[in-house]
Amino acid sequence: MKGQMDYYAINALREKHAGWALLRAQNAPLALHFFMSAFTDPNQRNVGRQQLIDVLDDVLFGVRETYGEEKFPRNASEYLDDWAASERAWLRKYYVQGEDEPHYDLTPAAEDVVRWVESLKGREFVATQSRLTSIFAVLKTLVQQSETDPDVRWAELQQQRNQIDAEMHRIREGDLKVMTAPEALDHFQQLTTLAKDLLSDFREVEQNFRKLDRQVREQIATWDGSQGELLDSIFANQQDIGSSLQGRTFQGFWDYLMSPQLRRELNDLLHRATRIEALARMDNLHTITNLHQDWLPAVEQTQATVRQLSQQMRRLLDDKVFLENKRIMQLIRSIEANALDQRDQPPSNFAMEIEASSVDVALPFERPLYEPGSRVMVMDDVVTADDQDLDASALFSQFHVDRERLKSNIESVLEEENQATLADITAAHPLSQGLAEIVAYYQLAAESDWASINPETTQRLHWTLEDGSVRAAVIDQIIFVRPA
Amino acid sequence: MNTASETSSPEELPGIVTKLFKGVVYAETDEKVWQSLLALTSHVRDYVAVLGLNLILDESEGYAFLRSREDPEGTLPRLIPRRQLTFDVSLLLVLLRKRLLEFDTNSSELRLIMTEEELKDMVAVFLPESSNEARILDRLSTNIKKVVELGFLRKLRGETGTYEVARILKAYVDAQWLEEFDARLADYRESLTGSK
Repeated sequence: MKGQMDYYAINALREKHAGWALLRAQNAPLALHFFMSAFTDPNQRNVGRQQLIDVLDDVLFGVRETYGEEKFPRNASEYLDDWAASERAWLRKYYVQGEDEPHYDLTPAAEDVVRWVESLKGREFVATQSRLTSIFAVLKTLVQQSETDPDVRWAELQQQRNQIDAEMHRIREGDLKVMTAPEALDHFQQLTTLAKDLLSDFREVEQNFRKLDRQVREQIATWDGSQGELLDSIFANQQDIGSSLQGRTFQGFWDYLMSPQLRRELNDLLHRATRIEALARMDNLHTITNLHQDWLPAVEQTQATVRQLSQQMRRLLDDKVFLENKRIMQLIRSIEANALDQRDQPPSNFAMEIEASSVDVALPFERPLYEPGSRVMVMDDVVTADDQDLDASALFSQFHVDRERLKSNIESVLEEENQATLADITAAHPLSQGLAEIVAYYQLAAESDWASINPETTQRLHWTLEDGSVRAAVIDQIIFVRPA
Repeated sequence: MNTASETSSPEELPGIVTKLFKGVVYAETDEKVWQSLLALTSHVRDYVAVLGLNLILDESEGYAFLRSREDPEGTLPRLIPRRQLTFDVSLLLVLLRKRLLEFDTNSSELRLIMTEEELKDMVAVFLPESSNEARILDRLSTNIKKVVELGFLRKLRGETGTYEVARILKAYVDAQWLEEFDARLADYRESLTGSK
C-alpha cells in the first residue's frame, strides 16, 4: 500500500522522521538508555512524571560518574520536557482522568529506534530453523485457508491426517523425537521476538487511530457545506474509526484474544513451556510466561483509546454542538475584534453576570454554635514530655505569630478540600513557630464560624526545632470547613 | 449492586439534591452520586422545579448542575446568586472558551491543561500597552484567581502554575452569553465614538 521508497522519500524521512532525528541526536545514547530502562525493559506504558524523573536521575547519575557533570549539564526534568516537546516527539505527554500528574508513553517512532539499536548488538545465535518453520506455518495457513476448491482442501486435510497417523505410529514403536537444546533455545528466542513485536504493534495501532482521528477532525474543522454532507463524506470514506480497516483488524484480534478456549490453551501452553528442561537455564524465561499478562493491559489501553476517540467524535458531530460551535466561533471572533479595538480604553464600569454553580443557602443553624472558651486548652502531656532542654522562653518571649499567614494557610488548603483538619493544614504548611503557632490556630478556630473543635478525637502535631529535634503536641481535633 | 426497587426509591434523593446545591456534580469525581443521579433524573428534575430551578445534565460531558429557571417577570427571589464579572474576567472566560473549542476540534485528548505562561500569552494581546508590566501581571493573576473561584479553572496538584480548564465552562459561556457580551461591547464602542 505504501509507495516505493526512492531517494526523495528516504531523504524526507531523514529530515522529518522523529525516529531518525533520535538516532542523529547528540544525546541519543542517553535518551535510548533511559527509554529502555523506563519503558521497554520493564514493559511499561503510562508512566507518571515523577517516576520517569527518578529513573532518569539514576541514568544520569551513572553516566555522570564516568564523564563528569559537564557532559550532561541539564537536570532530569529538562531532558524529559525536551524529549516530549512536539518538535522531538519521542515521548507522548498526556493527562489521564483523575490524576493531575502528567503521564508519558514512548512514541512508536522512538520504540522502533530502541528495538533497532538493540538488534545491532546481535543475538547469541541467529534463529534460523524456527524462522523457517514459522514461515512455512504462515504460508500454509495462507494458502490453505484461502483455497476455495473443497476437493483441494479435503485432500490437504487427508494428507495431514496421514502424517499424524504416521507419527503416532512411530511413537508407538518407541521412536520419540525430542527437540534438541539448541532447537529449543532457537524457538524460544523466536517466541520472545514475536511477543515483543506484538506489543509494539499495539503502540503503533493506537498511534494510527490517533492519526485517523486527527484527519477526521481536520475535515470537520475545514468543512464548509452542510452537516449531512459532512457525515456522508466521513462514512463514505470509512473513516469512522471503528469501521476502518485498522479498527476491524484490531477488533478481530481482540475477539480472538478474549475467547475463553484460546486463553485456556495459551495459559496451559505457557505453563508447560516453563517446564522444558532445555530452557531451564534461560534467565528471561519469565518474560515469555508473563506474555499474556503484558498483552491484556496493552490491548485494553488501545481499546479504551478507540472508545474514547469514537465517543468524542460522536459528540463533535452531534448537530446541536456542530451548529453551536460555528456560532460560538463567530461570536468569539467578533468579541476579540472589539476588545482589540478598545485595548487602550477597556470598559471600566462594565459588568457581565454569570450564574454561580451553587445554590446560595445559608441557614443560621448551619453555623456551629458558640463553644465555651474553656475548651481552648493545650493538653498537659505536651509539657511533661522531656522538657529539660525545651526552650520555654519561646512561649513567653514576645515573638509575633502572623495570624494572617495562618489564615492564608488554612484558605489555601480549603481551596482544594471542602474541609480539613489542623493536621492536614500543618502537613501542607509545616509549623515553624511551634506551640505558639498551634495556640494561634486554636484561637482562629475558636473565633471562626467555619471551624469546630472536636474534643472526642485528638491529633498529634509535629514541628522541628532549629537544632533539628522534633517536638510533638497532642491536641483536640480541629476541623476547618470551607466557608460556603 | 442496587436492586431496581432501591434505585428507583427516592431515598437517595436528599443526597443528590444537596450535592447539586453545593455545586457542579462531575461523573468523574462523584461517581456514586452521578450513578444515583442518572437513575433518579426525573425525580431530581421535579424536586428542583418546585424551587424554580432547572437541572442541566450532560451525560456525554459528564457533569450536572442547577440553573435558575427563566423568570422574565422577575417575580421569584434568586436562589442561585449571579456573580458580577469585570470586563477583564469576562474576556478571560471568552478566550478560555475559544481555547477549549479549538482544543476539542483539534485534539483527541480530554483534558485541556494550560500553564500560567500560556494564559498570559493568550491574554497579553488584549491588554493595553503599559509601561508597568508587573501591574498587568498582578491583574492577570487576580483574574485567574477569580476564574478559579468560579470553578472554570482548576489548579493542578503538585504542578505549580498549571491549570485545567473545566469542561463545565462550555455550559456557562454558551452562545447566548457570548451574544450578550458581544452586544454590550458593541454598545460601549458606539457610546465611545458617539461622545467623541
